[in-house]
Parts: sequence; structure tokens; C-alpha cells
Amino acid sequence: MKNHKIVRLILISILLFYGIYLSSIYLHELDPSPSILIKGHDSSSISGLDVLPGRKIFQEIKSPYNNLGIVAVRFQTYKRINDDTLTFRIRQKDNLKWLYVAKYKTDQFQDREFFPFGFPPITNSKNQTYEFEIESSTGSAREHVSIDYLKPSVLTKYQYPIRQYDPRSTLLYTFIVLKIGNFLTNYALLFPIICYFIPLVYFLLHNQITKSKIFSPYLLILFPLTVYVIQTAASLSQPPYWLMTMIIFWGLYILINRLDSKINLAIALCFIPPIILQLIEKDIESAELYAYWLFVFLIFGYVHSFLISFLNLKNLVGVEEYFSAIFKPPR
Amino acid sequence: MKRIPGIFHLIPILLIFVIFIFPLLKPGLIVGGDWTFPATNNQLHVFANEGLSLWSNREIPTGSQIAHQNLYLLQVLAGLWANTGLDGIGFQKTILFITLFGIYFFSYIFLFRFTKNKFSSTIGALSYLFSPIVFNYLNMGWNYVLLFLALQPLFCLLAYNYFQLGGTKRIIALGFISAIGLFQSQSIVWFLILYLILFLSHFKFSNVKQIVTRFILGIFAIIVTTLLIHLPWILPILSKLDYSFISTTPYDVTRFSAVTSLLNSYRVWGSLFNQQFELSFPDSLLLFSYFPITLIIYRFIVSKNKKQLQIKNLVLGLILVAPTIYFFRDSIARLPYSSIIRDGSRFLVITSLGVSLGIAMSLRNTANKKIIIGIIICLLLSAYPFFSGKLYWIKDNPISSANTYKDFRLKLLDIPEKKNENIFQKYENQRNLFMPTGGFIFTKIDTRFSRSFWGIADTQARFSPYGSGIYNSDKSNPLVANFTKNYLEAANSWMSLNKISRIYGIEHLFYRKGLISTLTYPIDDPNNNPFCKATNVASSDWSITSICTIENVYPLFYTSASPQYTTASLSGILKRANLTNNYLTITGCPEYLNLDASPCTASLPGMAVTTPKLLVEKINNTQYLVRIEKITGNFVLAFNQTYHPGWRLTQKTDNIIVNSHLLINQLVNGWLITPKSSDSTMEFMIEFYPQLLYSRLIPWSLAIFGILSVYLTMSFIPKKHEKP
Repeated sequence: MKNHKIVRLILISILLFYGIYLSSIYLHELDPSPSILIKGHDSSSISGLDVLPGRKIFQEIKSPYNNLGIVAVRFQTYKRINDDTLTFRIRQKDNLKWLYVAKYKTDQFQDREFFPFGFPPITNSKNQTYEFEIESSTGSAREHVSIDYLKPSVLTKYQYPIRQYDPRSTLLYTFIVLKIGNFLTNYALLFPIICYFIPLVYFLLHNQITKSKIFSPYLLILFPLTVYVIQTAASLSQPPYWLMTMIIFWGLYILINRLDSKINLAIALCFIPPIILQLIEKDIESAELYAYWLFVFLIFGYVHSFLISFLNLKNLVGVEEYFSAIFKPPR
Repeated sequence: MKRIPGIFHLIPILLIFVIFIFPLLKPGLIVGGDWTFPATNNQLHVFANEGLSLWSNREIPTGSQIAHQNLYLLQVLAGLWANTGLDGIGFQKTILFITLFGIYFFSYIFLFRFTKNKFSSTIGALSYLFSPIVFNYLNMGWNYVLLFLALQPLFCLLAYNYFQLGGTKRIIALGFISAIGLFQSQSIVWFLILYLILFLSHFKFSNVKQIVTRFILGIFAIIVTTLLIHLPWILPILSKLDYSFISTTPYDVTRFSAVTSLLNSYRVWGSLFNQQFELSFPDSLLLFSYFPITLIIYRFIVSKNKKQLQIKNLVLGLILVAPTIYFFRDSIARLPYSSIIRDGSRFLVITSLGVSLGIAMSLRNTANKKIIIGIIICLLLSAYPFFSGKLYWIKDNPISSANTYKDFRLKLLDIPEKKNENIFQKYENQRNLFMPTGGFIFTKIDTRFSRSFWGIADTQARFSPYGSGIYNSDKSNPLVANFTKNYLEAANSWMSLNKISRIYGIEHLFYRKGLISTLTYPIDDPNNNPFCKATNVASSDWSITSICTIENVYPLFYTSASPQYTTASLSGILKRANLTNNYLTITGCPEYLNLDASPCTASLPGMAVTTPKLLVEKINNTQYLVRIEKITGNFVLAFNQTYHPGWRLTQKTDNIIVNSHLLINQLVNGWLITPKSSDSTMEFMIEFYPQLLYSRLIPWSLAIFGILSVYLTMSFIPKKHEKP
């Protein structure tokens, strides 16, 4: 019993460490400088648009802070190295004069990642509206990028000179409050952090649900699925290390519930009909996505089956038993 | 009435004849994509003789780098065949047909080991034989992967039995098969993956010690046996790791994963040369392309038999190889030496065996006859376009012209060397080059292909005893790549072509007007070029239409007392160089050639006043005796064959090796000779040292191969008093 508790404690510590570690990596990659404030913008009017010659991508942004210095746009490169040059321009609304104009080669753009268009910080940008424009010079049907439809696809960044602030002045503390508020209000940016703690939350919830017998602990499979549905419905981008997190969750789930490896194969099988449907529809990208999940569950099936064979495990929960018990509270 | 044993194999044999053999029995060589084979008896002799030599003359006129002789066992066999007077076409087709039967029968034996059921094993073996990957390599005319496909089930069967029962004969047999399978260099990795999957399927907590011991012993035996049989060529290469053992370039990763995908891996699609078929796969049958994997997964889910867990693991392990390699392709590409396995789609060979084993097991576990018939119909529909003969008679390309180059359907090609033989013969002992050249040749109008063009590697240049070709690929070493680039650049004007040919000792150019030229300059134009004479033979695109003569070419050996130093490009030197005086002897070595040795030197000391005289005696292709007279000081001895550190110069009188090996004219060998003041005459032996090693080791390796063949035959044939 004591050993059981120790194992449980170790597991909780590992999962907690996992969540904290990935969150800090994510935060570091997103915002390496503590002196920057970030604002996501509604970009539904431009999302999904191909950036081609003759079509100017135009977007208005309202600046909530001073020191606007970066407009970051998330592009889709279609996993190609596209030979094109984009011209970026920014100006204050209703002002004909461009504040900044620069050209960028698209071969440096990463698929579905933000590309920062930087310019000298605008000190009095608070509550001002700006317009930016992106235009392709040599793009073609085969060599072009497009604005990603994942939210947010446009970010603005504001640089505050905190190093110059006197630690005794209120300026620094005001900025810290601003920074925390800024972070918490960017729900789309917070989303990945929630994902990284799914395995831990599941592990903690499972015991409580089993003890309270409110519903079947198998039903907790809906927990990450709900998160996934929210992500898809809100068109949020897939967090980095998302697959690894789901693999850890699923590994925990099948081990805790002592499921047979056939469950993995049953789930894998569910992905084949959508693959065929998408292929008939000629939607190769979606078909490949289902094929990806088929691969993940087949790998799970193999590894799990290998472990069962290696450890000679018995009394596992079979496919039929699992699916019939999923919506029933345990006796 | 007693049944005739094995009679149920008649239908598969008939299918093999109808689908593969009859369409290929028409005259001509089987060619597909970029792989060709010797056609005539003469060409087969050239191919066979190469197996006995590490120094090849078939590539560029000045010799080649060390060849990877992983084909030497086949080349020995080709030699025996050629000695009977039969031609290369017969050899190629016989080997291919035997391989196809091997694919069926060996997979049948393997599957029967698990199913203990003739019917399901037969269907499983047929699904293996008619898997898309087989058609892919038939399309390419690439027999060596097909040979691996035949050996693979045998290897798995032996490994499975070995992990269960142990036994010396099994581990020796595993090593023996691995050594044969090394025809295809990727099989080094493929066999190890198979071995690992079979090991994992037996790996249990209760038998860890025993199974790990067997695993280690098996690996040891495989490595030792393979090395014993292939040591003669591996040893010289190990002493200087070859250029082709590098990590995979991003270009190759993109190129080889353009067709394959996770989506395709599960249905054993996605090989490079199957794309046209896959693109034209009828939408109405798409459902069936996923039938095998669906059936396998479904049968595993509903199976109640706990004892089959081990087989299930084996099937899943095998199936997942290609998708896993595809999934991790970028990481794998970064591994050192990953260029050996750069085409990730080839791992489908392992997946296809897993699918077939899965199909056989599914049929084995299905009792209802109606369902079995349904399964067979679905399997037939999933592979229908492959085996229906579409492969042989698609008339035109159903896909856009932008993708036309991907269509390399297998055809029969008659290389007309026999018709040209009379023209060739008088040039036999000279150094000649087939033009156009460059490695990959397209015909303009050859109607046998029902197409306006067709591309294959140049069979005639590769295997002809009368001339050679220039081959350049991403595997070429920097010297050859540099030479090829410069040669093809120079060849766009007759003056430059004449100059560069002269320097490297090319005496004649065999020009083939029917092939799409790698040159922009029509070298056989009689108005501009009096050195070319028309042959008036034009029976095929490959016919030699004119022969151009290069005058005053540099000999194989020459001396120079006035070498120059420069790091300029070869084409730059050619523009300026005047070849009227002494032999051009450039000792510069551009850094980008990145040679391990440093044969470049800015100045050579104390050069002679006059150029010494030479007397050369050729012992064989890799040994020459050179006598030098009238020596008045230091000089450079040039040997007009591609530079390789393996070429060694030894002074005859005191057996001293001359260490001053130089790179001459950015391609060939040279040595700075510094004679003593009393030496007016010197004698040297020039030999290709790795060849000595190879020649000494080959008989031993062949003997080991022979002994193992006899031992394994005796061991595996059941004795009269034993049950089979």
C-alpha cells in the first residue's frame, strides 16, 4: 500500500514536471523577452487568403498598448520552400504615408508559424488604429504562401523598455500587472498550457471518479476529446508537443484501466473509412491526417501488444467489455 | 484416388506465367526506369569480368573509382552463363523468372509455418507476389529488390525458427541469406530490421536470458558470414570510406517521399515508379485498396485466440516498418551513412510481407466459405489494375505531361550492339566514348516504346567492351563529378570537346544521333567537322551514326618536366591552354574537390631540363611496368587514369614506394620523381593496390560460399530416417 502511494506520488511529480517543463518551453518560444506584450487580432477577413501578385492583403489592427514594434503573421507555406518576395507596409489609419516598408523572401517562412514583420517601435501607439498590407512580387500558383486560417493569425507585439525603469518607481510594477493581464487575456495563447496538464489532470481525476462512482472512469476519454473539439471549433493552432501529450495521456489511460491492446486496433480501424472517404473526395490533406492517427494507434497497438506479450499480462479489459462499460458506472 | 502433392500450386504457377512470363518472352532486354542490364553475350562478359576487378574502366574513359562489388556473386554466375555462349537477355530473364517463382514459393513456405493451412498460405503468397511493390520493381527492371523479396520470407522463417529452437545451421543460414541479399545494398538494414522484429515477437520476461543470447549470437553469425563472403571488396573500402556513405540530402528526402506517404504505406503503395498506376487507380476501386489492412486489423480485433498474440505482433511489426520510416524520414536522413537507405519507400518490401502474413492469418481464422470467397474477390479488386496486364499495354499517359517523366513502364528493348559490332571491332583496343553520354539517355523516336521518348541508363556504354560512357549521379565522387560537368560543358563546341578528349586520351567518339543529346553542338555535322565520319547505320536510336576521331591524344603514361600549378576550373584552363607544346600537366587541386590526400603543391623543385623517355609494358588493367630513360632531373610521371590513392608506384630496383602522389589535370594520377644524380634510367611498377587484396581474397570467399552452400543443403535436406 505504501509502495503504491510512493509510485503514485512519483507519477504525479513526473506529470507535473512534464506540464511545467513544456509550458515553459512554449512560453519561451512564444515570448522570449519578458518586456514584450502580445495582442492577438481578429483576422477572419484575411485568413486563408493566398498571397499572390496583384492581391493586396490588407488588415486593420487596433493597438491597445504603446510601443508597437512587430506585426507577426502566421503563414501557410504548404511545406514547400516558396521562392517569392513579400512587401510589407504599415501606416496609421487614414494617413496616406506609410510608416514602414520592407521586402522579405518567403523561403525563410516556416509552415504555420508566425513570421515577425519588425519596424522601429511606435511610441504613442496606444488606442491608435493601424493598417498593414502584404503584397507578393513573384508568387505563382506553385510558389506562394497564404495567410493561415488558424487563430490567431495576426499578432502585434509591444516592446517596453523595462530595463530603464527604476525598480523603486511604480512603472515597473504597472508593467508587471499589465504583462500578467495581457497574458491571461490571450486565451488562444494560453490554450497549449492547458493541454500540457491534461495527463496530470486525468491522473488526478481518475481516482476521484473511481471512488465517487459518479460515472464510468472510462468516460474520462472524453476529457482530451473535449479539449480537441474546443481547439477545432475555435480554429486554434495545434500546440507544439501536442502529439506527445496525447500519447502520454493514452498510455496512462490504457495502463490505468488495464485495457487490452485490441482497443488500440479498434480505434485505428475507425480511421480507415474517413481515409477512403477523403480520398474519394480528393482531399488528400485530410486523408493524410486520418492516416497519421491510424499510424499512431497502430503503433500503440504494437507497443501495447508487445508489452502484454513480454509481461504475460492477463485479465485485461477486452474491446466489447470496454465499449459496453464506457457509459456505465462501475458496479 | 491419391492426390498429387503440390497440385494446388498449379494455379499460382499458371498465374505467374500469364501475368509475368508470357508478356516478357518477346525478344529484347527488360528495361524500366534507370536500371539496365547487359544485353549481348559480349556485354555480359564485360559485366562478369567487372566482378573480378575493383578497378572499373566502364565509367569514364580514364577508369573509375573503386566499385562496390556487392554484385560479385551474381557476376560470377553471369560469367559462367556468358561462357556457354548465351546472351545477357536470356540471363536477365531467367534470373527474373526464377526470382518470381522464389517470391511465391518462399513466401508460401513462410506463411504455411504460421497458418498450417495450404489454402490461406497460397492466397497469402499470391498477395505477396502481386503486391504493388513487385510491380514497382518490375517497372524499373530492378531485379535485385525482387531478389530480396524472394529471400525475405526465407530469412524470416529461419529467424523465427531460430528464436524458437536455436541451432547452428539456422544462424549460419541466416548469415548466408544476408550475404546473398547484399546484392541490394539496403538489405544490410532490411535484414537487421526483420531480425529485430522477429526477436521482439519472441521476447518475453520469462525467457530474457535465452532469447537475448540467441539474438546476440545470431547477429554475430550474420555479420561474420556476410563479412566472410563480401570481405574482398568491403576491406578495401573500409580502409578509405567511400564518398557515397553520407547522410541523405534534403533533396533526396523530398524526392523519395513525394510519392510515398502514410496514406499509401498501408496499402503498400507509394514506390517511386508506381505513381502513374496509382494516379490512374479507378475511384470506384479505391475502397478495395484499403481492404487488406482493414481485414487484418478487423481479424485481430475479433480474434479470441490468445496464442496468436506472437504472430499478431509479428504482423503489426512488419506492417509498421514503411509507415515508421516515412514518419521519421527527416530524422533518419540526418543519420550518418543514411544515404544507403535514402529511398524510404523501399521499406515497403517489409510492409508487404507483413500484409501478406496478415491476409493469410485472417483467412486461416475465417471458417465461413462465403466470407472467404468475399475476401478473395476484394483482394482481387485491390490488386486488379496491377495484375490485369495494364502494366504492359497502357498506350498513353493518363496523367499530365508535367509528370510524364515518372512513367517508366517496363518494356523490352533491343540494344543493337550486334548490328554495330563490325563497326566497333577495329576500335576495340582503343579508348572510346559513347556520345551522347551522361548516364541517362532518352530516345527520340523509338517506336517499340509507343512513346516519343524513353529514358534509361546507357546499357551500351555501361557494358560495351568497345567503349565507355560518362556517368554522373549524386553518388559520384567529386573528381568524377567535376570531370563530367566540365566534359559536358566543353562538349558544346567541337574545339573544346576535341581539346578535353585529347588531354584524357579519348581516341574516338561513337555518336548516336537517335538519342536526345546532352550536347547543344551537333558534333557530327560534316560541314563543320571533318573529323567525324558517318557510318550509314540507323536501324535504331542506339545505332552509331558517326565516329569522330581525336588526333594526337595523350597516352596512358607521359612525363613532364614543366608542370604548372593552378586552382582554376578545368573549363577555364581549357579556354587558355595551348596543347601544341608539351603535355599539359596541371598539378593544382581546387579545394572543393575535398580530397583526403593533399596532392596539390604550388611549386615543384629542381625540374629536369628535358623530358625523359618512357617504355610501358601493360601486365593487366591494374598493373603496369614503366621504364624511364634519359633522366636529367626531377620530373612528373603522369598516369592518365582517374586519381585514386590506391594507385601505387614502386621503384623496381629497391622496392621503394614513391610517396609523392599528385593529382594531375584535376582528374588523373601523377608522381613527382626525384632521381639520384646517378640515375639516368629508372624502372617502376604501377599497380592498383586494393586489387591485389581483392584478387587474393576472392578465391577464399568463393570457397567459403561454396562450403556453406553444401553444408546448408546437407543440413536442411531431411535424411531418410528423419521426418521432414
